[in-house]
Amino acid sequence: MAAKNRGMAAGDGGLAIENGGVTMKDGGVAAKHDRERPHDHLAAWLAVGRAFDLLTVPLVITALYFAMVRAPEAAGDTGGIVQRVFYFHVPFAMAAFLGFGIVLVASIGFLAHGRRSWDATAEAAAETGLLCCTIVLLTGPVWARFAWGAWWTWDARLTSTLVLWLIYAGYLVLRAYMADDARVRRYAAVLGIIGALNVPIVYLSVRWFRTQHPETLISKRGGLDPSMAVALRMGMLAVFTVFAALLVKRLLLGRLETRVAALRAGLDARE
Amino acid sequence: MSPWLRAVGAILRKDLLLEWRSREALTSMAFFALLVTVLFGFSFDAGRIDRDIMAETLGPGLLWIAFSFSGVLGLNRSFAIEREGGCLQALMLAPVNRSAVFAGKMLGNLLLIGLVEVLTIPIFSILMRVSVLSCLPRLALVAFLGTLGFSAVGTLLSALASGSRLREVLLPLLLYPVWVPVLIAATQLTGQALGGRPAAEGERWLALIAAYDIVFITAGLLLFDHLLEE
Repeated sequence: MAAKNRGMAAGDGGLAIENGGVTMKDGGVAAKHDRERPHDHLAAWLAVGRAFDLLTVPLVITALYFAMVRAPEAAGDTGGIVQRVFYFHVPFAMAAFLGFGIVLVASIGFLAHGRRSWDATAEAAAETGLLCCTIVLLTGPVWARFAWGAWWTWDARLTSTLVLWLIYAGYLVLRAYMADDARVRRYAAVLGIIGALNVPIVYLSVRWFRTQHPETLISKRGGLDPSMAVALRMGMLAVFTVFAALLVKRLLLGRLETRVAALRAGLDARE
Repeated sequence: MSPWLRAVGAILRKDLLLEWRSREALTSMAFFALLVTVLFGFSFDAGRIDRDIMAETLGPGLLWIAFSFSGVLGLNRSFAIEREGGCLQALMLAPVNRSAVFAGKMLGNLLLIGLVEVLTIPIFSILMRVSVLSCLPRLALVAFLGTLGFSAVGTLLSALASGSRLREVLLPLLLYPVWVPVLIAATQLTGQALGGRPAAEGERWLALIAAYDIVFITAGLLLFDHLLEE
């Protein structure tokens, strides 16, 4: 089993796969001419994933240093020390939008071309985007509690982020409760497009909704101190790298899942 | 009449005839809307709520929650009955453009949910002591545009949800987040109408619902094809 895992992780294909079926040679492990068989480029993906892993560590540490040490403390009425969460909160919000944007593009791509990799990209981006969106929704209230005196307000930006979260959580519920087959991929692509079409309408509606209630607190983000801007940029660099690393990991996981399913199908066929 | 319109008419006629003979969906939906109204009345102690607040804030909210909840019952049924006797396969074999199937089902749902609304509004008016007679045309316009959007996105998502293992449970999970903008706009407009405020205040909300309707009817016509391949 260990040998098998190593074979798969190294990406040199311990088991040969042909058209989704499996031929096992010499007990199934490391047959010589099996090396060129798999076309899922696992080794390359794994290498890219490792590279991103190595990249994230120094970047996150640097971003933390800039956010926690180098950036000046914010005024008390904008949250004081808690304001430092801003340097990660905003980049994660951008990363969430990026992720949902990728879902839209990949969903359209899948419906147009039907290639499996489009669907895998949409799924990976939805999960990664939703994770970022969750972090936004968790870090926001922490700051709001100190700056506005309440964990939550029905402000336009907060509300639209929440609705966005609900839309893509529903998308993942759909994927979670259907067998991974051709149908769910089409369904998910349709839902990915509907969800994205709705985003601008949601944003407009909650903005009008709130401007009718002028007592709503709206954050003043203009006029960032230069060192704060640097910290924000470092945060963006770190968070986008984390986002990319997670996305690559999730795509790699998808490829591993596909291969395991193919192997399992082959084993069943043999029995 | 073009073949496309004839196909839409045939699907619509089939759904209405089916409903007319059983009246299952209409009865359960109207009864459910009544229950939501009564539960709301008790849980918010409606008898002690100020009439202006009821007309402008709570009442519109109740009305649209009742429409949304009972509407999902109808939408779920819309494709459950197609899947039951293998009717969906027959629909797919029919030599018509799939968008006609979508349009027919959507219009059927629009009429069904609209009828439930027509039954619910007088009950709401009596139980919540809100006068609706003076603003009936405005209310009808909001209800029509809102329900059109609900039916468009609901029909599309109902086809999608009925193919999953969760079925009835999945539809509201997918539909309600997408439904938020129209819910906001429709409750605002209903509040303005019931509160007797000038109609000009609500123009941009009407535009928003109209834009939503156009976007999702178009999306439904274009995307429905992808949901009917097995």
